[in-house]
Amino acid sequence: MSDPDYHPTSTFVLWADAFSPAELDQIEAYGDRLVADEATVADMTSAYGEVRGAVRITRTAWLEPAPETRWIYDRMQRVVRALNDRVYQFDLSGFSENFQYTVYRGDERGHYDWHVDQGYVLKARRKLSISLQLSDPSQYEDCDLQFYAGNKIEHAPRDRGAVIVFPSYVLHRVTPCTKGTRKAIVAWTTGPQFR
Amino acid sequence: MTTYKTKPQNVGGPVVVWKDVFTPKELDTIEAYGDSQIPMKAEIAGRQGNTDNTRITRVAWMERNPDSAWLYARLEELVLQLNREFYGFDLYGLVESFQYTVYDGQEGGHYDWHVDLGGQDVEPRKISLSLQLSESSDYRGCNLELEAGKGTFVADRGRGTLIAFPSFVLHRVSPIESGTRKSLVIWVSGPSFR
Repeated sequence: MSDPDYHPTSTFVLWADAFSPAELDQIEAYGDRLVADEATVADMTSAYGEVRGAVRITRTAWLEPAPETRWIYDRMQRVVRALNDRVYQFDLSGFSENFQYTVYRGDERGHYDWHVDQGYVLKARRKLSISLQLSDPSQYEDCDLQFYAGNKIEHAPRDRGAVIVFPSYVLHRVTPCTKGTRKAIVAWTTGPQFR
Repeated sequence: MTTYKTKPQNVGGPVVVWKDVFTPKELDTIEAYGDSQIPMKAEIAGRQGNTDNTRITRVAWMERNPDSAWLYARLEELVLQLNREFYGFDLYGLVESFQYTVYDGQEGGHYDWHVDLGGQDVEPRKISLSLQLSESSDYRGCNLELEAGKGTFVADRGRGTLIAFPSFVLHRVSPIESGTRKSLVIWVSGPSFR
């Protein structure tokens, strides 16, 4: 963790280099096999469909907990716990949802419009959302993970291996990919509802 | 305990709306008191220089004192019921003074998208509330809009309506086109979300 100015109201926090390049290669290879087998294009139309258009175009596959993925869950757990202890201090119970391997493709203008990860119910249980950048920034154009909490849009770091953690109530989006391919692991920690 | 003819309603996302929580006479009293405090142009915490692009509002602080004690008592009661029924947050109470806000059509009143969480120098804000003091017909534009990720929610404009939401919810007041909109803004403090 590099920035000592993090505060419970920080929009997001960063942990760089939580995974080595070789480990990132391994995650990517594993994810690519899953996507080749079972990827679906998540192209959801919002409740206000015709007004907002396609909210999301990504190829996703679920990275289920298994002997060969166990280490990824364990590592991510340690990173998120450490960041949470230092910054947000939310009550967390763990990852009750599987990790999602997501692929944004330039030829599909892959994107995900502004949203929050909490769902729209009061008793939402997602507490912290996580994004692991798997692609080198040279491999794609645009496809920027952005946050908005007023004043100005904040940009997530694009460096390969960056783990970006943010409260699940923060509005965020991924802008359309215009060239190449961006891959990421997306995960959510859950816990008792905010209090 | 005051009895109310209406019930708070969860209108979508984390937004709760409670209509007619004060009588017209009580609303007149709040408005007269606010106006007597001579609202001044608001500044934005932590920002210097011209912030007109972000916010043009006149505000007066309505401190806890013998004149306002009844209002604090009522809002405490309302907040506790809302919190019990919908949010279940840990709260300290009404630590900050109420903010009486005036959006004036002649001044181009507005307040751009923001969250209320606060910074490092105030107690964390947990629930934000807005009490509509003006009749909807008194002004054009100037909607309280909330964005919880499922499209923009436009708050009820009725006089005497109380709108509550967790302070992390992005919201704005859209530019006023004509007339004057007055409202009372309340923040409920508590330990940081956990």
